[in-house]
Amino acid sequence: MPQVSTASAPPAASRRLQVLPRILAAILGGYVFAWGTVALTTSALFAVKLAFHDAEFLGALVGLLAYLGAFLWAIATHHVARLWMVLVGGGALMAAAASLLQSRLV
Amino acid sequence: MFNSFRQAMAWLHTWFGLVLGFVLMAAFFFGALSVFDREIDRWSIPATRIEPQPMPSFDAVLRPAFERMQPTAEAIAAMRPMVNGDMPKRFDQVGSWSAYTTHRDPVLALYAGYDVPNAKNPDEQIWAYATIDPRNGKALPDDQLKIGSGFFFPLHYGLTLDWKNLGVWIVGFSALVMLAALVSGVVMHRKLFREFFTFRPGKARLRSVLDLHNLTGVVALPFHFFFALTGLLIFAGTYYFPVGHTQLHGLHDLHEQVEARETGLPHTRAGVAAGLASVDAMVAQAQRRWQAHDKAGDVGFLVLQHVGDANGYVSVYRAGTDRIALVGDGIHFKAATGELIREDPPATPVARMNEFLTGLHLQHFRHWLLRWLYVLGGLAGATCIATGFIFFVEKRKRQHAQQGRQGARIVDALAVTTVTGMVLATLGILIANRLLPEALPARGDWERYAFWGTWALALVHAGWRSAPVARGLVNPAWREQCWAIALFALAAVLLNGMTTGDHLLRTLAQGYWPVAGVDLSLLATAVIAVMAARKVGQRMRATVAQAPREEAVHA
Repeated sequence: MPQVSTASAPPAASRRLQVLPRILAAILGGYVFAWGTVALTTSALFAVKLAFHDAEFLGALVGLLAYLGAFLWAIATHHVARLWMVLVGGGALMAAAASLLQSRLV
Repeated sequence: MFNSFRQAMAWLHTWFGLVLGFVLMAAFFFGALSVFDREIDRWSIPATRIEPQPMPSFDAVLRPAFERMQPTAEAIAAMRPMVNGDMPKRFDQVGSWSAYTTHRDPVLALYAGYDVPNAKNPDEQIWAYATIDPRNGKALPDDQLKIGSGFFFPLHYGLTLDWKNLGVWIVGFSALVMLAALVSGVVMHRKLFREFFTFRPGKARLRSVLDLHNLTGVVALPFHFFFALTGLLIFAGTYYFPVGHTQLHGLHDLHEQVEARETGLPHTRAGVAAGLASVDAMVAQAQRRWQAHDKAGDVGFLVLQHVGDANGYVSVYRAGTDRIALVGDGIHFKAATGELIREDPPATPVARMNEFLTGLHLQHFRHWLLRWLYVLGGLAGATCIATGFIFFVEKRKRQHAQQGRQGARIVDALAVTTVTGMVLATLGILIANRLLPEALPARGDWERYAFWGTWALALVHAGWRSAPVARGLVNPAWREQCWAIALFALAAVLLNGMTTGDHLLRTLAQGYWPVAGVDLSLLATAVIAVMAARKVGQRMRATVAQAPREEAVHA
């Protein structure tokens, strides 16, 4: 296992300050992003004539993997502002697109 | 913040693994026990120690049993606020009757849902539950705690924290962290393949702990990934991402209308009374139809909808004992006439994938070797997490001792509680199950208290004995709790023999494996615990020899 603390790492207190927004982004931002992915995948697949529960299942599968990807990215990235923008903004956009699709179909 | 991707992944692996590892241990361990939940049920409810039975005759056995059922006083009291005006004395309009069994169930679970007059929500149903002996329809006590399927199993996915489904969310988040820990673990270890074959038990302590961590993590990597992911998938639509019930409710409703039209299965009552044709004849016809498709003909689930109404129908579902996929192959009949309404069409490719993934997680199939491999996989997961804790502690212990910090000490005490304490709690509930008087009111609650009480005591004990860790030594609670496990496991086996007469000599001679298997597993637990206790004892003496100033403490 590589050592977490290296000589060039910042001191513990400032580390803690930096790590909090990432944890929040990973958990909350990741959830918003995953929700958007689930909703958009589900409604898009339903729109192309997949059965609802099939669309729902694939939506959940893709959404969970998106959550995992978002989670890892949130911890690793150097750009915290961009991270928040993509996760929350992207999640909201996808959710809005899903609702728009639904209004066209129902 | 991190210099490299690998460093970020190491941080995530260490800290999320540490915080959520405690939950994951419980999910893995009780999941492994849930593989044999029905067998643990037999051990804990001696009155049900009989051979598994097929679904009995509806006309002769089930119907009289259903007709005897009524909601309990507690269920009626709980329903009162949902109703305008008074509650009726009896509930006679049956929404549904259903019976469920598996190839490992000697007893049959019955569910009855009744329409509630004057309910604020017109779709409201009040439920009654019963457990019967399928050989004669006799009601068995339904208030006894099924420790396997009714306690260890829900503990595995929801920690039995039912308030706002909090436990389901905690376990779900831990499963996501498990996935992240697996990915980050792989990133951390470039020489992944070599670690398949590396275990150096004799090497320096830190190295051998890490070897075991990597070995159990890497060898069973597909198993861990699969179970964490499918566990999330099973609950995704209901709890984690309920888009169909919320944001996309419109699409869901649209689908239901189309489905009701296509299947011809009535959604509501007609309001016209009607009789019930022979359900046994419908079951026989369903079995002939399955046979024609070359499928095993055991009935797993039998449902009667809108009982006594002209819209009533009977659905017969197959028990999927012969394949991994969790299938139903439902066949539906008109209740009044027995005429075939519909045969479920073959599943779509996506639905087949869903059935396969959830079926592989929930394992309703009949394959005992695979069942044991599941247990091994679950225990490998638990070992992987436990060695993760120990590695965390061992790596920091001396440094923390020099700096006078308590971190390693606290984590070590929690690790004791999670590893040996969890096993003790499991044995505690089994012992309580055999010691509490049969007629004790709310007996199941007392059994639960015994479980949590034992676990709490294990925490107190681990904390109380933890001082040596702050000096870079071993917490004696590890060894003491191992001895306690050995004693508890032996006590459980002895108590089972004494209170039920089903000691190992008898169950082995009769080949009654559910109870013999639990007893043998308990004995194996005791043996492993003794070996572990002796091993920890050796290590303690070795470290004390290194640090002579500590001798007085351990003399």
